[in-house]
Amino acid sequence: MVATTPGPETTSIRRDEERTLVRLMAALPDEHREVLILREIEELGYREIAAVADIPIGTVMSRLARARAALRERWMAEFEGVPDAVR
Amino acid sequence: MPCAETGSRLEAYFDGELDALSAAEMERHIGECAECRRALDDLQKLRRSLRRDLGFERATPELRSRVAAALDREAALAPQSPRFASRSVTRTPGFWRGVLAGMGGVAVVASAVLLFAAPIAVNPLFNDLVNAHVRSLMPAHLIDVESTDRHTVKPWFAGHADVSPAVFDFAAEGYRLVGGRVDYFDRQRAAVVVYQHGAHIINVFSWADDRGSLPNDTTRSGWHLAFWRTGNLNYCAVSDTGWDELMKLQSLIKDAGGGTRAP
Repeated sequence: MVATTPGPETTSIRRDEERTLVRLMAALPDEHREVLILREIEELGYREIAAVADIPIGTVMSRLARARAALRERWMAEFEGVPDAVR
Repeated sequence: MPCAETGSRLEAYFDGELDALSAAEMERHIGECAECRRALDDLQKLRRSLRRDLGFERATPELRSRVAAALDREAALAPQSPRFASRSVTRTPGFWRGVLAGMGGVAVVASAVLLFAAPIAVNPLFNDLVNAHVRSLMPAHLIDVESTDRHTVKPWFAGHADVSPAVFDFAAEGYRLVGGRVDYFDRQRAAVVVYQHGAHIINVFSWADDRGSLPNDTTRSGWHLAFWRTGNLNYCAVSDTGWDELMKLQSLIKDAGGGTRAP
């Protein structure tokens, strides 16, 4: 919760990261993107994700783990580091 | 040598899906395992980035309708918890029907609307917002999902509104989360987060706007309208509190949402 306004350089890096993340998400397989959006953006629990995606909870867990790993890996390939969200 | 605990189990802990005993065990383990701490930190960073950069992404209509159907199924199975509204949430924009129905009990409110209806050449958005706010103050119109828990309100929007707004409880700061509602305007189902501040109700509307047009703060018929924008979502807080109180809530929401993005 930092109140300072980011400088122009930070802002441009931020936008770069943002565009990259959007692109990487779009490139993920549909089933990976789906569980990531449901968990991280819509904040659904595993049980709810299972109901929405119509898959067993065990599959929710393994799919989510694979999706996170895939996104993380692709991010590392782009930036050689996990996104530094704290600013 | 990778730690055996990293992977699904650590993620289940991170996602708050472990029971209390397992979670306590996991916490002990994390205290001793640098690899799991690093993995947890990565998960957290990924989540922050996704929420910040994609938090305003709309899920596809198809996915949304599946979320809605799943939530409704759950509500039908367990009507008490969590409390999902059973009635249809997509309302007609016809405001006058609502006014006429509620006129008897809410004369003061109705007169405020009549005062407001007279001026011409105002931004139609102001009408929509004030109308929606006034209508919300009528009996049984305020909330569709009643909860002080943001983890109930936020997923509810996923199934019922076209946008996924920031939802927080600021009870400690004097702005108690009361619930959520869906209002139809600007040709979409806008999400409304309802707060209570003292005796005042504050409706925080949010809707997607790709045109990037944001009106200036204004006061209409005694209601203050404070606008701001985060990502591609427009927000408007409407209330009869003082400006200072409204601005305080606005900055709380902005800060909690991870800060605004550059326009």
